[in-house]
Amino acid sequence: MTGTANNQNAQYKVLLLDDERLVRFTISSYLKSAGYTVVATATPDEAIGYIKREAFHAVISDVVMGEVDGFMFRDLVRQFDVDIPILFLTSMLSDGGNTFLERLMSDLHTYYVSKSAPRAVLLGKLEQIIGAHVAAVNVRVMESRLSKSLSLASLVQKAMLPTWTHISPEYAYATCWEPLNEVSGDLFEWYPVAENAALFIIGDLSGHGANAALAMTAIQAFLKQYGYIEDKKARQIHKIAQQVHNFLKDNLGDIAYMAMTVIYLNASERIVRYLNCGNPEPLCIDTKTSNILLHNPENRGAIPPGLVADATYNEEDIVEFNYNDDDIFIVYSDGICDISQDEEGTKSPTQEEIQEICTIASTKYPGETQVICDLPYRVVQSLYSMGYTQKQDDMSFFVFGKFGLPESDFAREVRMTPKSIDELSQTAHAWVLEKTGNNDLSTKIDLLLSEHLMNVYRHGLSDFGRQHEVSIVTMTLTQKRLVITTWDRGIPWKELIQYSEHDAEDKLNQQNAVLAGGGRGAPILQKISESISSDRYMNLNRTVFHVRVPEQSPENA
Amino acid sequence: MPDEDPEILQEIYEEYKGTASGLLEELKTKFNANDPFDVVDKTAHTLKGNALMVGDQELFDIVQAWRGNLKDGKRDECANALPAIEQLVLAL
Repeated sequence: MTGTANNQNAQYKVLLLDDERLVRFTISSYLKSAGYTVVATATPDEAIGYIKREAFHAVISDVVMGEVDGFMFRDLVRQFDVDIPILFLTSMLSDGGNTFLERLMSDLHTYYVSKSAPRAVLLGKLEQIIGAHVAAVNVRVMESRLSKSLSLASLVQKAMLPTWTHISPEYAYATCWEPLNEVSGDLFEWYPVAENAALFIIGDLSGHGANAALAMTAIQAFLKQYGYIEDKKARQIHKIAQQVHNFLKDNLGDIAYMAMTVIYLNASERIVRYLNCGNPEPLCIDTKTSNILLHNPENRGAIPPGLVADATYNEEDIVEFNYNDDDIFIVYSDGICDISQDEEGTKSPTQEEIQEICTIASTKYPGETQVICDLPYRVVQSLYSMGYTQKQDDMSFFVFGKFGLPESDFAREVRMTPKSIDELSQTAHAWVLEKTGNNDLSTKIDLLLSEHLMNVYRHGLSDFGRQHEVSIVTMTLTQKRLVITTWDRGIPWKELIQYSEHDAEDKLNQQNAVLAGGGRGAPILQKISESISSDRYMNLNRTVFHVRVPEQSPENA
Repeated sequence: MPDEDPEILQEIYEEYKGTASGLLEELKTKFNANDPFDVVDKTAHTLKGNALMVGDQELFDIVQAWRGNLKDGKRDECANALPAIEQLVLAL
């Protein structure tokens, strides 16, 4: 053994267990001469004590000992350390036969060496197994660090995206954004360019994972300039595509190209202009008739920006059409087309299947209310339910159109902050009071929404980015009932109830039971509502509260 | 387990010598007292293992054969072989 090897081995500590004094003496001598730190012990009890208290890089053990043999000792060690290498010293290879060997090798991190082997063989074996063990530990540490970095990158990415939904009197949009891993190469952007006009960009960077996510971040930074674009320039979506192409070409070179759909919507003029560059062809569906409207029979479009250096994007590539209130517009990335029933990606949905799911999900059936905000989630959930669960790529699914509720109904978007929730509750209070003249009912609705949304805020959303989250609240008044529906992206409802019941008990123990907004949650919701139902589509909760509307007394009529 | 380092080898050998005579006495006592097979065999196993460790092939072979006879119930053969084992241990 060289001096260098001895110095290196000094950092490694070996536990030696043998009930035979000669063996302990001999092996300790060998190990110490090679520079290892050695702790030698005669009993398994003592050895386990050392394992619990100190860190070792390897264990060397006899097999045949007293009541507790080497295999039993190994089982005990594994309770405290699942992969520390154990090197058995044995003379039993000639006695034990195959069964003995099988028992030896039944543990992934067990090795053996004969007692008759030369010292160099023992030391060589030990060096090998310690080296492999230390390398495996280092890999785990690196993986843990990388995982934390990716988790942070994922949070940053999500914070840079627009809210998942937006509703206004003239149009609404909703999107379901599902990275393949932690980070995504898909993006979507929404820029309100005038009161009833907007620019949407749905992009899909080539590749996925960290590289695509980094390129996506660069492009998002570039795209942010369109937040200030004038309406006139926003209509020239071919020029926007050209600018994106030039940016990719000049800054990302061969790293990435991006399938992209740029959409200009003007709800006052009832026009849509879109330029599709490499994404699956967008769908336009009449939700009343379930018909897919073919606005692009000539297959206009362009190639993905960044793919070919000298690409140009022209007005004649744009599709423009007028739309009706019942029309919705769907754009999705090819990750939706690639999702598969098997890991190899050989059983993906057909274009027809995807179109059919979209059509069914968006169709307005008589007596039913269909709103845009959960449509992307219902579509993706449907694919999952059909067995298409193996993602092969980042997925994004985007829809826009009229929100879907009559103007007489209440529909609001609410930022998930205590202040916004409070304002929303007061607005809801005023709306119910105006519609029913019933102050008691409107107070209950105020309380119901406040409690429910505050529960979602406190317990349903993670700390980071919860202030960027929005929820949707709608109310429909019939003669006998007020139907309140909320959409949020918090944890599943049953888990939320457990949180809120716990919180309720704490509150009740701390204060006397006084009706006040304090996050007591489930008991209050159940007291106010005749019924509560919840559905979950992907990570979107839809909760429906039915509240009885008292009959008006003559003096209140 | 033979070694090229003479110093370590000498230390191990001295340790072996002291251990072997003690184990031999223990073996004789247990065998003559007709202790159960497991009890006697454990001592023999240890003596054999130590011989293997220091590379004493002669002692290893004779003790290994002795264990085989003990397992087969051939006590006369075992009794006859003990003096030969003793001679080897004394000669260490």
